[in-house]
Amino acid sequence: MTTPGSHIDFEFEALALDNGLRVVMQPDRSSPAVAVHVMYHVGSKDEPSGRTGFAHLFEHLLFQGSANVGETEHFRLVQESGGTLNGSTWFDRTNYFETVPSNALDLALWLEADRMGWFLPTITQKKLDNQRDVVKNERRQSYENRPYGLATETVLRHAFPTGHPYRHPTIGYMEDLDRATLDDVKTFFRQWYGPGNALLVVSGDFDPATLPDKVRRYFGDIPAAPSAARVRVEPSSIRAEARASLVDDVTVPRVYMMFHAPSFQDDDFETSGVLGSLLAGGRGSRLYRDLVYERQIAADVQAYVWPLEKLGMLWVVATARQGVGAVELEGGVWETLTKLAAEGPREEEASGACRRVRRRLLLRLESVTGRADLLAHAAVLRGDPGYVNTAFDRYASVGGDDIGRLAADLLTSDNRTVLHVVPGTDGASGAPESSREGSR
Amino acid sequence: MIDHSSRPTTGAAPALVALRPARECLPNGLDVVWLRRSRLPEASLRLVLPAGADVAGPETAGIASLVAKLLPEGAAGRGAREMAEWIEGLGINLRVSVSYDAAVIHVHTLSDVLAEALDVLAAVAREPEFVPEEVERCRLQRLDAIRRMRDEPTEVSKDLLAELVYDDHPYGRLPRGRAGTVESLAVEDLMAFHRSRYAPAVATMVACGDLPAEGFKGMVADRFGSWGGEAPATTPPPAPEAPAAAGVVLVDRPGSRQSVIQIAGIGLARGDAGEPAARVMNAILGGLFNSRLNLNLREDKGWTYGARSVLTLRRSAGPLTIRAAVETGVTADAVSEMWSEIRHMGARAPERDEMRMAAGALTRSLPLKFETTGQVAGSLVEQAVYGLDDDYWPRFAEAIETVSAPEVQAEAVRRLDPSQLVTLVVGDAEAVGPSLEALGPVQVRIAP
Repeated sequence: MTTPGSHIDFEFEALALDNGLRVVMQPDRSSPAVAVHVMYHVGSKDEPSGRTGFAHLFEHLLFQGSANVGETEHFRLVQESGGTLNGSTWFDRTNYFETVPSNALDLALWLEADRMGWFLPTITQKKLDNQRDVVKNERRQSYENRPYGLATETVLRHAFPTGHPYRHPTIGYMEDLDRATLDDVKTFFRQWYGPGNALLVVSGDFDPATLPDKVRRYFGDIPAAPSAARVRVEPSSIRAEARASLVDDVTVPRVYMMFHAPSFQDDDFETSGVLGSLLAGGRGSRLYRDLVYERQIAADVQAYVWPLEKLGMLWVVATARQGVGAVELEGGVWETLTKLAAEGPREEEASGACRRVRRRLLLRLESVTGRADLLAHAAVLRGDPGYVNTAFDRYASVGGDDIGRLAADLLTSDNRTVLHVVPGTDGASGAPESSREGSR
Repeated sequence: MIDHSSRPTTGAAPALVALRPARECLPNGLDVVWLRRSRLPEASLRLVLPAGADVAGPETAGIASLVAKLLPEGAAGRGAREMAEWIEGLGINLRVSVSYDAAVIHVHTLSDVLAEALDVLAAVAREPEFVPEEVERCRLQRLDAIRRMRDEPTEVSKDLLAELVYDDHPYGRLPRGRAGTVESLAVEDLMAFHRSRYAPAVATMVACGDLPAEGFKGMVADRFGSWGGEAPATTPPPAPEAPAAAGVVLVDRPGSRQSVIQIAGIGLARGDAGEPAARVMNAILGGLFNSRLNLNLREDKGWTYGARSVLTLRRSAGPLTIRAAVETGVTADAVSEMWSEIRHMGARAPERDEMRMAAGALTRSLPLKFETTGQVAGSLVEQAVYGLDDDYWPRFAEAIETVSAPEVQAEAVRRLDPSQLVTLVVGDAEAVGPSLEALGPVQVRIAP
């Protein structure tokens, strides 16, 4: 029996093609599933000014066919073979992934290669207009027409100065989505979608002896592209509290508190994750115990960190009990946070939080889909795919002292942005000021 | 280099290997089913109980769910906070889910504390205490959650949709209950429900993961062997009667940026002879990305982020629901497109490539469903709840492969009779009312 103190050891091999494509191959024949994951090192933080939401809109277009793949074929071919697939866009990266029965590995590689190499000849204004409408409906469905749906983007807008790459949400604003042109699409593809800016991960049931040739066969003749100039992000040196409030059509208030925190590349990243879990990871966590059990002013409380490339964010989100106001709720949250910052955690709560984070990591490593995802993030955002094996032990080495030190450092009023979302239906409820579509 | 215009062929699909878990029955009747997977140091445990929402009457709606919520809130001599700290200190995850069909206690744990995780599971299942002050706290939380349903456009209508389709059948009341019934449940009712539904002879313990090579049964017997009590076997609720179509029901949500459209009727029970054909029909209509609904409303018209249909199979006939959230301005057009796809499904047999896509998606995906300990445990739970043997999935694949296009059409005629479907729209009544009225009678309801 493996014990949790022991090493996680997923063997993998790395390879680079002449055109610059990096490849990570991680064989695991225990289940007849194989994950093919392509990550492009471009996200919403790289969008040109006035084009918020473009990286994500572009991701949609990459499912609309390429030279040898028909307009609606990509999804059909993968689902018909028994596979699952999707794509996602975030601040730092865009990824495309399918998990298929192992007999469909070639199909998945061929599909990914075709759009990496030969997407431009088939893109049309009609496809752009259709997916622009779909994305605008995604914004309506997942953000505007959802309770508290505009909270996160409001926090970002107040936390970062104008022009900061992390200031706008990945989904973007309606007016910018409207501005996107076919020329933007072509320029963006040429700038960011060359093989040199991509990483291919294959994880799961494949023959390690033949995969390198297979990858060369499908991806090797994609022409290399000049590497793009990256956006510069200054390390976060913001030391001033920001505050905002938002009226939304909701029953009870909610308080968001975002703290600037270590990036995914920082040595303290794992500590920040354990700190988040200690604050609100479960029913025995600090905030849950104080606010839900003892004071009964919150219905729910959550805390999470975002693994970002250039900076980090630790979020604390508390939803009020019926009849409790945002000011009282914020006071309760703050009292718990400052107490932890002053006194540090108890040893058993630190070790429990640490165990919980490690257990959750195993849930991600268990499937080829989750493992390929972590390998890709680790390789692209940390430059180290081996993190897939070392993360478990890195979390294990986080102690109570580390958590106490980081809590004291991060949980200060000049390191936070606070948002109150309060019930109401008057005016342009919840509409961001920069969105025409938001007002009625 | 290769000719990129030639699409690679897929070879033979991997064989679907049936799970062969170990099975034992303890002397008190508790079934224990487990499968060892020692790849990573973790394990998934489940305790399955016939304590789902379909056994509650109209006056006690929500009881199964409130009992489940209270299980970890004080048990076996430990108070609620002490219990929470015990669980947190071990780093395990414990949650209890309640569907109409069953209650399931889920545990995920690092395997070095497997014994302690079983201790926790035994405490919450066998000896919850229902301390009055915890009951009141949880009741208030539940009432808050019911009130907050109005915030979500998809949630605000859930209760109403269930009632419109199922009327006073148990499926017409959501598992979480209604404010009135949740307020009136007494502590004694909760304790009596627990006594009568949580008993070893009707329970199944499921485990998958890094379990000891020998002695797992003994670990379970040590903690559950002395569990006593009797519980009657539960019978599924009666077959529901079809609803009368009521035109369009419009729930007014002023200022909505989209309308949430749901068209629902009664589908079928798990194990019904029509199940394979109905699953194929659902895949073609709205179950897959390239389904008719999604290709039409999203990929052709751009009216929505996604349109889909969901076939919910329960012990008795669950609903078939077709839904899309669409831009407010196209609400009536979208409703009529959805109706048109529904009628089309029953008017003609599907095309061959649609049949191939649906069968492929439903059967070739099966070998991928047993990869993680959570997936395996979930599948073993499914077998326990619906009485499926270990060869069920290979048989299921065969049944899907033999479904014919005319059978799919026949299923559509049976399940998608427009005179027995309810259409519910949640949106801005002022904006969408007039165009909906052009389609037929509209009944407007105020959102709760």
